[in-house]
Amino acid sequence: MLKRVLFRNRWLPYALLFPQLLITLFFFIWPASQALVQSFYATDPFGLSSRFVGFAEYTRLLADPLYHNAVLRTLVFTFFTTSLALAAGLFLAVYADRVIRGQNTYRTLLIWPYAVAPAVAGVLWLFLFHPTYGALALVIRQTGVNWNPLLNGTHAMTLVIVASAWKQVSYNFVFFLAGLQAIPRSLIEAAAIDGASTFRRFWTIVFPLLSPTLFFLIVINVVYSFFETFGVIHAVTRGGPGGATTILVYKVYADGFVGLDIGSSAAQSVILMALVIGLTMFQFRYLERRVQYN
Amino acid sequence: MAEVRLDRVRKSFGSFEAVKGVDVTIGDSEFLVVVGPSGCGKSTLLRLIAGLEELSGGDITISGRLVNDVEPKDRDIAMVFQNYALYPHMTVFDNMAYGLKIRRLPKAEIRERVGRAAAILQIESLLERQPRQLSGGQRQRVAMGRAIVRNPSVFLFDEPLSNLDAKLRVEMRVEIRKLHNTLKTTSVYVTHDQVEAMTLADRIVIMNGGIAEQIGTPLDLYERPSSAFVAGFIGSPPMNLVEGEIGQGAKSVVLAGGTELSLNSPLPQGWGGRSVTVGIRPERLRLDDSKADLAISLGVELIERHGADTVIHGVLPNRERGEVIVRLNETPTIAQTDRLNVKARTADIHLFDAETGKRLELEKAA
Repeated sequence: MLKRVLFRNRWLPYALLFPQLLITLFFFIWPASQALVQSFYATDPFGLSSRFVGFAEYTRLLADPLYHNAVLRTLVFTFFTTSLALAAGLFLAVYADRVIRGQNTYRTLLIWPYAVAPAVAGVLWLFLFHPTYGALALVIRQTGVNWNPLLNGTHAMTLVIVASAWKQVSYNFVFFLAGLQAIPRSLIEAAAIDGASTFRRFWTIVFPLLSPTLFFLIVINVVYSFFETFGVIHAVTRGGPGGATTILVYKVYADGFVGLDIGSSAAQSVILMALVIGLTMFQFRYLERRVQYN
Repeated sequence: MAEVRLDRVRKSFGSFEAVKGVDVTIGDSEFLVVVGPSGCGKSTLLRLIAGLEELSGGDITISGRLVNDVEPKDRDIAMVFQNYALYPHMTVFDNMAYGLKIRRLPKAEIRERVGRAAAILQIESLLERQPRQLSGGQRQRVAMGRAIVRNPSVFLFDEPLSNLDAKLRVEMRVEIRKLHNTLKTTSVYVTHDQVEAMTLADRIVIMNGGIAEQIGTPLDLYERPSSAFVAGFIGSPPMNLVEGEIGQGAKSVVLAGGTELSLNSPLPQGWGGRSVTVGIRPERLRLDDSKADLAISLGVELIERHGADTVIHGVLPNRERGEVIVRLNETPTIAQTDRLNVKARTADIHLFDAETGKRLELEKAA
């Protein structure tokens, strides 16, 4: 499937790759290796002295109930963020695909949230749902719920999940829409003539044909929930209240830069790194199998 | 079994009128072919029958039931698409069984029906395969199988052979017609290929610019085309159409370039001097024919020897655009000579009004 190109000059391909390799080296390989090295040392809070401790940081971490809680919390957070973002994206894409008039306007508007910086999105959502001055918080309180994401851990978690999902909906929307538009119309028409209702056509024809897109997006959304929601959480809850929204990536920051436990923070980031590498490999391995339409 | 009736059927897309009022009744177990150049509205007409497009005007009835507002699934039809539209994620069996499963038929009956259709189409060995593992011809068969298993009262075909190579197309054409002879299901078949239309059809609808130019049996269209458009569309090579004029006294036709053909039966007196398009089929021109009464002198430009027949491209004297094709079912020993005299009979001359393109009836005139 990949196009093969032959270069006459054997150095040209290397020269073309060089800038990208340089960037990868400085912004990934070097810091990642630093983290890996750091994770084997215990460092004092001021960074003046360090001592080789081998896998001690890892064993301590894996035995730490606080870490276990963070893992569990991350799984819950990721599950709900991913599900919500995917479901909303798919829903919007299906309806945008049916719209005929003003298609471009809808699409542009639906893509906008992706251009909002995570921290800005976080502040925006906090502003809407703040227990004292949030306009939407007022609405929720009027239904009888004592809404307070600043004190109630469940409320705080709900808020960061919704805010994080909201930011990712646009991305999912674009991919789902492209996926929907790649399905030949005649397939849907054939199913309609075969007697399938709109609902049935969606679940037996459209949805299976979207599965490569869905699979790709699941991986992307899981990676997003794991690693890129830091900004939203930092702006909305700062991991609180009482650590209720401290997911793994936030804990790396909190332990390293607030708690000044560099060794533990480094070990945590190495574990996260291994996770993201695993997810990416998984994605490459299985995304090769694409559905052919004809 | 069903009769399909189209009554003043119209369809517009915005300000573009794709189908401008078509009337035709497709008889029970008839095989009707809709043929025409691209953009003539033939596919739109088929999609209107299928219910995939909404009517802008007129009525469609299937088996006496008005179906204007009936969903495709409730019209009791099956359609074969140009790109086959097989569900890529299902096996051949599941593709064919899809419509039956939706109709909640018992499993045993689904298996039996699919098995029977597969036997008819000789695709029994392919049932467990995925569509992407099939060749073009096999996919075509599966698409037909999916239509057959439902046992609908009408089959709709949307250019089903146009994605196949020439050899396969001829094979499948024969099979489709044989299948129809067995099943006798009312069929509407859309194509741009006049050979397919001529060989498959009980009757042909020839469309041009959203209008049905002529409806009739293949031989009707061949022998008595109602317009110059039909005359030029049906037949291979197409009918020779040359501009001309009816001579003074209405006893002859003068072709562009000056050749005068004297007719043995005079035309109505009022026709003298009228501008016409003169049509003669290439295969009705003869080198030598004792019954022929018209002689045309041609300059030979090209001789194509096909083996079974010979096609000669010639030009009328003093005329660059007046090309005349002659098809002979013999292999004459002529070289690229300068001149060639061909003959025709008065009965083989078709006259069309130069402005409207409509046929002028010689017989009525005589």
